[in-house]
Amino acid sequence: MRAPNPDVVRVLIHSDARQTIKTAAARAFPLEAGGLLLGWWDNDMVVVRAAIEVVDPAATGTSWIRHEGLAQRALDQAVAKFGHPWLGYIGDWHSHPAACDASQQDRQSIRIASLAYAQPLVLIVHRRDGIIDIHAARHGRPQTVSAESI
Amino acid sequence: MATLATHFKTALSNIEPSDDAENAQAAHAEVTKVLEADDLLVKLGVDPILIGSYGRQVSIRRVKDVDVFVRLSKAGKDLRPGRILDHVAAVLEESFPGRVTRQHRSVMIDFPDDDLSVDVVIARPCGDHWEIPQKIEDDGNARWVETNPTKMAELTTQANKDYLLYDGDPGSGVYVPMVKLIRQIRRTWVDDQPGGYFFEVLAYHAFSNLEPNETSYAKYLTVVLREIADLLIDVADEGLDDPTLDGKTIKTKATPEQLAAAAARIDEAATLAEAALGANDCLAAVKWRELLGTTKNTTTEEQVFPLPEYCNADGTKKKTTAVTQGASTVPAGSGRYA
Repeated sequence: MRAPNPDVVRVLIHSDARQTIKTAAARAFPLEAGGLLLGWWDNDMVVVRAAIEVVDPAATGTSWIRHEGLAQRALDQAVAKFGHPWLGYIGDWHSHPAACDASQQDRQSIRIASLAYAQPLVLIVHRRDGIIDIHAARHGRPQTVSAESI
Repeated sequence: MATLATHFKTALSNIEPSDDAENAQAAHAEVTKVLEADDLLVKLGVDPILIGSYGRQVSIRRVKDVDVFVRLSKAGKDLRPGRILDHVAAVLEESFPGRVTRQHRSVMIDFPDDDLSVDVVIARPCGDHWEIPQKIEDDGNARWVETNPTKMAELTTQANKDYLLYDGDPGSGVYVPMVKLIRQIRRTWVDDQPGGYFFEVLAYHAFSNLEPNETSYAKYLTVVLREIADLLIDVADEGLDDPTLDGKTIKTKATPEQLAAAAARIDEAATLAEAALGANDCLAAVKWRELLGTTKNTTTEEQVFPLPEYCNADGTKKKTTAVTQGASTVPAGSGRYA
């Protein structure tokens, strides 16, 4: 039996998370929307159980910024509201008001964010055409993603 | 107290009639187009509108029929319902050959590919509301009966604005989700009658009586269900007030025995909801699953309320060492995405 490839991260995305992202992206258009991915790590798999929106008051059509204070408050409120003992921060999402994948800046930002965690972080980019582009990073390095919907 | 917010959200999504909704919208549009192209109906001021649970956006999987309320705003008192229904049936037959059935009070069009039918009900003006035929004789004469289906849609919209899950968030209307859950509970706990609309009206009265201001779906459902259980006992004797027509009551096919049986079952269901609200997460989830049952009229029956990932089916918590909880802190500083 082959050992699992340490550079491949399995990402399970729940339909609730997809729906939240889709709705927030449509509402924010033509500006970018973004927020946090909530879930847990199960061995080397990342489970994206929910997504929450964190409003960036200065968002534009080409930029969304995760501000620590606003994001932490949103995370604390969501964890309290959902009452799910495994839920916590596992990555970021944002929308692109055009049909384009994650930019170099996007990939760099998730790589930098992942330096602070022992487990991999996930980045979801929701494109205008409905396609979602998924990336992961661990310890500052990009990972290959194998994504499934649940 | 277990409120299981994410799981209630999933439960609501599991009873959402997403595919049916698209089919229903398309079927309604097709029928409307045909009716609006007919000269006689145009002269009578034809103005179709979706009514029924689908029209009020409180339908649940599966939607098997869609009601189209064909308002004939220029029709006078001399309109013979039998004749106009014959005419509507003929017009529709031309566009949907072999799929049209003339019924006593309406015309039904079958959409077999979508396992769906559209029921066309004609209506003439009556003051600020409408009348529909109740029973049509062979000569086209009929008794007309007052109705106000658009009013129920207005009341539904307003109630969903009035009762919110999160204060100050107008997108968190909780009335419509509650009506959907109550309809699902009826399907699970009540044998056939009273029907879904009867329970929708009960839910409306329960909200009006209680004016609840809760902070979770679980709490809203528990208090509303208890109020419905209490209302059902009175309804058996006094009838159920129609919130759309002053002084009228809702008609139901339910016999007194069926109403009594429904009252007993909903009392049981309300007690189960109260127990779920007071239980720990996993035990609560098992009880919510029992309360909400499985999807009906679907290819495979699926549990409506999901079992939380951290629970076993017997209501105990999973013991797992493989899971690491998501982080409790976000990354320091700012992260820019472009």
